[in-house]
Amino acid sequence: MKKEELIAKLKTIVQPYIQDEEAFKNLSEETTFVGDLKINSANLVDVILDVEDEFDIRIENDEMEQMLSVKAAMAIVTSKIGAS
Amino acid sequence: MIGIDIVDLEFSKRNSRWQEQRFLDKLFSAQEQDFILSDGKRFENIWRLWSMKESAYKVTFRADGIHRFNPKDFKCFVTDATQGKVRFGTIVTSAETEIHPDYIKTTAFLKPNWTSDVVKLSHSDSGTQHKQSYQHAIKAYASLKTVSQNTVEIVKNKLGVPQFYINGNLQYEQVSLSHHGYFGAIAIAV
Repeated sequence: MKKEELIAKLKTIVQPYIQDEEAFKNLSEETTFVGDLKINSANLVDVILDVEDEFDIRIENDEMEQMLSVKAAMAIVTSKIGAS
Repeated sequence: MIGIDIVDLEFSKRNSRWQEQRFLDKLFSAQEQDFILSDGKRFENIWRLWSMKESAYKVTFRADGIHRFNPKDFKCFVTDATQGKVRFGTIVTSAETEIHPDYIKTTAFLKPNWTSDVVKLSHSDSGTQHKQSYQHAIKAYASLKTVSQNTVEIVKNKLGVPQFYINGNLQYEQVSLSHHGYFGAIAIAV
């Protein structure tokens, strides 16, 4: 999957939970979920479940622990879909 | 050290996958899930344990400054209707929860001298949440210290932890802030 395509899919996934429209509009690899997009930490697990469903993957606890930015999410998704 | 977390229950009902087993498995141990399902109050118990974990995370974050999303590493032990403990490695924090029909709020603490408060917000956007929670904390702190509100400021340190200043001088008392939906919460360790 192309990088741009992956970012676009992640953007669609996080949209229902974001609370900073400006940061969302400018979403890039460097964007963080809580710090930049102001996603409530109570919704992080929803983001992770939505990512699992969208890409048909399962994310382990130690991977979830680091999944705080677009870049980290991309790395985890890429490693999973590459391996299958 | 102190940490607070508040959950707007109406928001959580709508905008969360809390009903799913996979949601529970990502956040809670088998023992915690037993508690959640023990008394027919699944929704309330989920958000009680969540707010215990999140408030305890804020306490430990002050110590190590590392951002993580590792809710399962925070083990909850419920003592009674309001009190509990959260263990993270060797650190054990106490956790006092208020269960209100509209929100659930937990304060996690190492020392028992603290005060906390809830504020109803006029809007649920992040700008309003931030502004009104900060205003409320400044008002509460000014009243506690019997100083004018104009002399009090809250400034985040380089870890992102908010701190009180009076006339530009860093103060000893710790503050923790949380907001979700239409509710803000503040805790001050005195």
